[in-house]
Order: sequence, then structure tokens, then C-alpha cells
Amino acid sequence: MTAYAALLMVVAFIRRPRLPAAKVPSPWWDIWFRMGAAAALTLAITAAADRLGPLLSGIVGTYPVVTTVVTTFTHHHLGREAAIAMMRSSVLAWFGFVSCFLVIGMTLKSYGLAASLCLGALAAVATTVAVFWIDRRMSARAKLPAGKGAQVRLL
Amino acid sequence: MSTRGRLVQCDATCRTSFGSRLERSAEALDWDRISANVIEPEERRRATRAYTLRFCRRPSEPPMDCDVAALREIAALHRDVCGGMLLLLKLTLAPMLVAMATLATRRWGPSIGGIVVGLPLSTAPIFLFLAIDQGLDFAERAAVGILFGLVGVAALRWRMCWPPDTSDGLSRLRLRPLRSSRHRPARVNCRQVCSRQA
Repeated sequence: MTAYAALLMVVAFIRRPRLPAAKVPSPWWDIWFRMGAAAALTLAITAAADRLGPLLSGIVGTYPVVTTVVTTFTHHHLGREAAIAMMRSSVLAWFGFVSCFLVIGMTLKSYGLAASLCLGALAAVATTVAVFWIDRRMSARAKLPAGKGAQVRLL
Repeated sequence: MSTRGRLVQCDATCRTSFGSRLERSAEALDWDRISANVIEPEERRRATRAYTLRFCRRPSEPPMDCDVAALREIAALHRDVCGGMLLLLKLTLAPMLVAMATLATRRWGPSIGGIVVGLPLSTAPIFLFLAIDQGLDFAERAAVGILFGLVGVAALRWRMCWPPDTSDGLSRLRLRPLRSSRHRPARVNCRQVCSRQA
């Protein structure tokens, strides 16, 4: 519930992008860097899990290694509006993330690992679809005039 | 020593990633033949496969009476057969998911890319490997840790977007930044004011 509330607050703080977001031109080494970072994080956490303990392993496991890199590159190449579009989408997608691990935590002992992971994936997809549907309806209802409002400081 | 005690001892001795869950698949193995050390290579492979398929099933099955030496042998077998496979999976699963997310971002732009990147692409594989390596109890508590970690990640996003844009979202909640230099009242020098009035 705390995680849901925190995400809801953050979504309220991020405005909708004013321009349609363009595609991201990335350097060639970008994808290899991200893959290496993901592999390193996985290996490091699983190797250090004995010392870290379950709670700290979980907390460190959520380190946004992919999101940070992607948002930085997007901001550098395409500017503020594209970075806002990406951050807003990723924060909305985290509702599905929370649902996934909420369901996994509740069903892990009773249904086993494989079944709970499948149920968690289903919950993530269902929540993500529902959240984006609600967001689209709210944005269609709002129809805000462009150029109004304060500045958003980014990065 | 009870069967469960011997299993715990075996687990501590073997230090294998699968040791803590050997009892769950005990029924799939022919323990008499294993303890008599007459098991065939083909049967070992079958037993390994049976165990690998069963390690994530319900942990409610009762432990069977078995030999600690046999458990050690099977644990070593699992370490040899499955350890390399697990390391390979650790090195490939999360990077492959991240690569797919990167390609999706390049193909469909930041909005769709943000959705894909927001999915648990690196956390879910980490959670899977924690569950395989450390057991379901550890994984259950790690899931709680992941939810706590998301609060921290949300706080990071909140800091990146501060001060908020009041033209959207917050305007409905009538919230404003708590401290703003523009709206702070100017300081008044009382002595100067009093001297002018005098």
C-alpha cells in the first residue's frame, strides 16, 4: 500500500508531456552497456544475498539500472519533453511492478515459485493495462491549454 | 538424529544451492539404490531431471527417510549439472530482457519505451535466482524488500521532478511547492521604518 501511495504521489507530480514524443537515437554501445549492467547487478546481488539478507537483497534488486540509463540518454538526445514522457510512462508502469511482487509475495508459499511468477506476471500486465487506460481517459478529459504552468526541473 | 536434522546437516555440509530443497523431491528418487551406490548414469540424469522439475513445487510433501551420504552425492551432482546452467542463466536472462526493452524503446519511442522499461526486467530475474539459490522463505521476504525498494525509487523520481508542474495533476489536488522564494514576504527593517515615520 505504501508503494502504491508513493507511486501515486510521484505520478501527480509529473505533468503530461506537451509534445508527442519522438523516437530515441542511441549510441551503438548503449545496448551493450545496459546488458552488462543488468548482468552485473544480477550476479552481484545473487552472490551477496547471504550477507545482505532477504530484505536488503530485495531493496538493492530494485535499483533502477535500466531506467536511469535510458532516461539520461533520452534527456540528452531529445530534451525535456521526451524525458518527461519516458519518466511518466515508467512510473505508471511501476504500478504493475508493485502488483506483480504483491501477488508473488502472497502466493509464493501456497502455490510454489513457477505458479506465483506466472500469477505475478498476469497481475503486472493487467495492472499496467488498467493504469494506462485510466491515464488516457483522464488526459482526454483534462484537455489542458498548452504553455501554462510552472517549470519542471529535470536531471 | 532425525531425518530432518540429518537433512539440515547435509545442507550445511554440502553448501549447494539445491541442498535446502532436496527433501521435497525425495520421492522422485530411488534412495535405496542411491545409498547402495549402484545408481546408473542414465538414472542419475533422470533423477536430476525429476528433481529439477520438482524443486519449485509445493513444499508440503513430507520428507522421506534417506541417507545423508546419498544426499551429499545428489547435491554434488546438482551442483555440477545445474550450477553451470544457473550461472549461464544469470548471465543471459536479465541482459536479454533489457536488450528487448532497449529495442522496443528505439522502435516505438519514449512513451512506449517507458512502459517497457518500467516492467521488472532486471528485478524479476534477480528474484527468480534468489528463490532458486536461497529458498522460498528467503524469496518471500525479498519480495517485501522489493516493495520497500520501490518506495525509494519513487522518491528518486519525485526529487527529479521537483518542483512540480501545477498546471496538471496537482492542480486538482490544490497542492503547491511548500517553500518558494517568489512567494516569501520581503524582510522589513523596523528601525528604518520607525525613523522615517518619526
